Amino acid sequence: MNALLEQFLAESREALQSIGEKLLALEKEPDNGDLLTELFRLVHTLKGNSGLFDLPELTRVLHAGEDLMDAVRGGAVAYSPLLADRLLDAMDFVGMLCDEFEAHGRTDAKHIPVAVRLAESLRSLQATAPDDSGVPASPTPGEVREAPSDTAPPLPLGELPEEIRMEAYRRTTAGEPLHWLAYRPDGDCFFQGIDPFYQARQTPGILWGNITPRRAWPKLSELDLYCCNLDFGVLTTAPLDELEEYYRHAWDQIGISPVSRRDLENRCAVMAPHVPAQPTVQPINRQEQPPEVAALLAAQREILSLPDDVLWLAGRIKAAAASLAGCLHAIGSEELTATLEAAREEALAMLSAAPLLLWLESYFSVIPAASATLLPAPSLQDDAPPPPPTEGGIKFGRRIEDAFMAAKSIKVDQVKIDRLLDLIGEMVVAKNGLPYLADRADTLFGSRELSREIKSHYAVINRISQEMQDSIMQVSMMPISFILQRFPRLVRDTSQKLGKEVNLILEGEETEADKHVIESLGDPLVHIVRNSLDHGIELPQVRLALGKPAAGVIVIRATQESDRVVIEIRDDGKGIDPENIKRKAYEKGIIDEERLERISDQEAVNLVFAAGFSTADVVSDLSGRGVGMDVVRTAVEKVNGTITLESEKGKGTRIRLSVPLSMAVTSVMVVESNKQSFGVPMESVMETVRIPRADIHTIKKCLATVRRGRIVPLKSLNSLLDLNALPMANGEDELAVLIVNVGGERVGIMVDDFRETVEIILKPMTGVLAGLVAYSGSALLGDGSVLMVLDLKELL
Amino acid sequence: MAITFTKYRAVFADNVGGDDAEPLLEWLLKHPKGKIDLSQCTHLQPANLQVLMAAQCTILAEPKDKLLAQWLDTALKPGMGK
Amino acid sequence: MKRILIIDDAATVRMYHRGILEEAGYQVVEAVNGIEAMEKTLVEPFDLYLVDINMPKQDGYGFLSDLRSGELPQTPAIMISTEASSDDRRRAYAAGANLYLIKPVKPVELLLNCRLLLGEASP
Repeated sequence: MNALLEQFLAESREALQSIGEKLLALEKEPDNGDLLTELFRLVHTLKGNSGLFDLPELTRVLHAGEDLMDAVRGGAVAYSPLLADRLLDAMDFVGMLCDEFEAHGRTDAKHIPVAVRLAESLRSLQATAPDDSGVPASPTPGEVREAPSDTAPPLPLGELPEEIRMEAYRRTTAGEPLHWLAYRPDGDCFFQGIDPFYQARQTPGILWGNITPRRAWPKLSELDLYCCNLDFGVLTTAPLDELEEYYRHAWDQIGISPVSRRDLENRCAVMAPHVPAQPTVQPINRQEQPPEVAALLAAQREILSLPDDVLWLAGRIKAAAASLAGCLHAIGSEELTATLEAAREEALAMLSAAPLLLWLESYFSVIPAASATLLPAPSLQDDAPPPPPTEGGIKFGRRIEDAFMAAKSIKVDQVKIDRLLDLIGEMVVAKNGLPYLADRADTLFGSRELSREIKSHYAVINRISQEMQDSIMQVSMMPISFILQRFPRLVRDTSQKLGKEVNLILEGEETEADKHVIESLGDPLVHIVRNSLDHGIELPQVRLALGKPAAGVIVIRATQESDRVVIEIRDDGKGIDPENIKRKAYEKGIIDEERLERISDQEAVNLVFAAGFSTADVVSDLSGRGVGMDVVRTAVEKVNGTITLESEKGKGTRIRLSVPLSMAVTSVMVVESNKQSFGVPMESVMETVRIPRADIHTIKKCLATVRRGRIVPLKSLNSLLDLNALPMANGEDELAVLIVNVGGERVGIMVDDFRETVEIILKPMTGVLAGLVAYSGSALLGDGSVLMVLDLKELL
Repeated sequence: MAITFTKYRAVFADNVGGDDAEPLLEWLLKHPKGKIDLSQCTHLQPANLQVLMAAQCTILAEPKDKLLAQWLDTALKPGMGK
Repeated sequence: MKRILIIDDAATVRMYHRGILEEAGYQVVEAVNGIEAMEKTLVEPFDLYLVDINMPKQDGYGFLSDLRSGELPQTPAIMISTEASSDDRRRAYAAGANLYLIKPVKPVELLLNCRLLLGEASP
């Protein structure tokens, strides 16, 4: 089945399920605004999705449902059991259509009358409120709300949070007075020791308030901060005389206007700004543009004609100018760019959209086709005579019983799983306290037997907690096929466009990892594969000339290696020329001359991951990769993953991503230096060795030793952390050295001693500590002490 | 003073008075990308608010005081990310 | 390669738009609400946004006004809505959209408009 359809069906079923739940929940608390909003959103999403397929009956019913829920959400129609029934019927119908669509790839036209009837039954609820509710029918159109006094800006109903609006609506329905009070304090009020904000906050009967700048803000450096430029508005239920009493010292600075229930209903009518009629302009030139261009120009015209009263006016001007500039390029009218640029600068300087609007008027004529694309699709309403809606007559009998039958698995909120993971992580840490306890039982109280018993219990708890950890991790695992499934399409389409032939081979799609990890890999993988397609695989004729098969191969292979998932992306394209990379890296200043001479080819190709390597100017003439590879690296490192690249010129490229299966628990090795403990992530520890002092050499002022025939540079942890102490040797004059792998390079870190390996939950540094780059985080140990975990990448 | 400044953020606490507005403005001019933490703020004299509005700064944390948060939300909407 | 961010809470819609845009050779990133969209923008800027209106946490209007008030305000944005009324369109424009298209957007219509806003000539 087509993946888009599959996605649609899955999302629809999920939404239908939620709608059912929300409706049932609403039966218990019909006034819950959040539920109503959520319900509206669900129906809205369903309807939007259905428009992507040829499902007119479905869209029709959902459209009616959406309108109804919008009215309920807005308070124009009250929730009632009848409404819930009809909506549930409608959703059953939708569910049935989804099933049919899945089974046959289309829906039968015989459903149209049912759809019409269902839509009608939903709309009828909106036209007149149900008899058993006390809420009046929807507002009469065309009524205009009373204009407020001249000092008072109108009630910004569009800004009013829904729950406040509902509350206000209820208050007025209950007969309470409701006023909108606009308070414009004197500009010099601060000097009189008046705090108008405090004054406004303490307004009696306050429901809600807002603050708006009186004039647009100047540049920050020119701000007169002690001149009050603020207007306050307060929605209050206090009676008029109480308000007048409270503001008696500022009676000349306030305006009060009553707010009626109808005002609260007609929010759209109030908030829509008045837009002047589009001027008739004589076409000057370029009226031969395609409709999209005309529409885009008209859109910018409309945007620039809006009142200039938003805080982001500068942003609006820039975006409109950028859109117009894009349009000029697209239609090949670059010669106008300079004039546009001038108009933009003028507009920004004046902080007014007028100059740009003027530019638009003088270079482009108004084309009425602009709004053609905005018309709603023609409705079927008129063709079919609507049969009277039947009371709950349409049932599909798949409400509760079927739902139980169909459930093969349960859906659990991600938050709950995360909570479980947290708890288990905490238990792992608490469990780690037992060995300390055992030691104390032995050394402090001399009871070896008790110590042994504690240790054996610890072993049991340890095993159980590990199993728990594993099984809960299983729950939040998902197969990597989730992200790999879109690659066949991507590869096929892209290679066709590029005129290349590529076979994609996916291996190990069933490999699982934590949901967060899997999701984070999606974008990096797309990036890598695109790079392979764009720059790796050669054109068929080139390949044939090189003696390769015409079709290139890209293999994406996922495997699990202990607690990590390794994804390898391999192609048999032209590979990367290390010389080219070296030269570019040197030119970019990423490596210095000394490094340029010493760097190995393997190290050189990995420079594509260096920040700053991949900028646009490099991409165009670089034969190999390099398009945003540092972005890929950053994304992978964010989930504690690593990335390496191997390439052979002419043969192909292989990229390996290694990410942890899960991000919950980290194991670290505890080391001691200068009487303090530090944690080192186990994933970077290669080995721990004790090296006799005699085997440590000084090479060019740097310490180093030879391990397995390779020179390993040595660094003292004390000096890396600016601790003023020398590493301590043991009785045999050996130094403890932790060999770590950082970014593919081996480095030995000299410490005083090694301690145990522990599992911890790494908590990132917060507050003032966040600035300490040497540490990736801290963790609580079993004995209650805090372990600082080193960030080797930053440290070395 | 009820505002604590660090290199990256200004942390407001309790009732922030009018005298704080000038240092705040200076700090924002020096650190145009500075972020504001209002979580512990209970009230702020409006001169401070004017600075925040004019600077269009990023608000890291809204006041815990719900009512104050609602007010500021209307004034600082772009930064509040409602 | 031009980068386009699709902001929509409906996975089906995201997939649909992604399919169209990737086929045309754009690099597509997705976000499920305005907050996530802003986070992704701060990591690496985009050349164009496709913005849905109704989303949990932060809706399209909120995101657009944040974008227009932020550090990279000039990036064009297309708001994609199910509402065809001029009030809705105006509201989108006021919040910071540069174009207002009605769902479902036909592939050709989407691509033509993206090309215009990105300053690319149609092939």
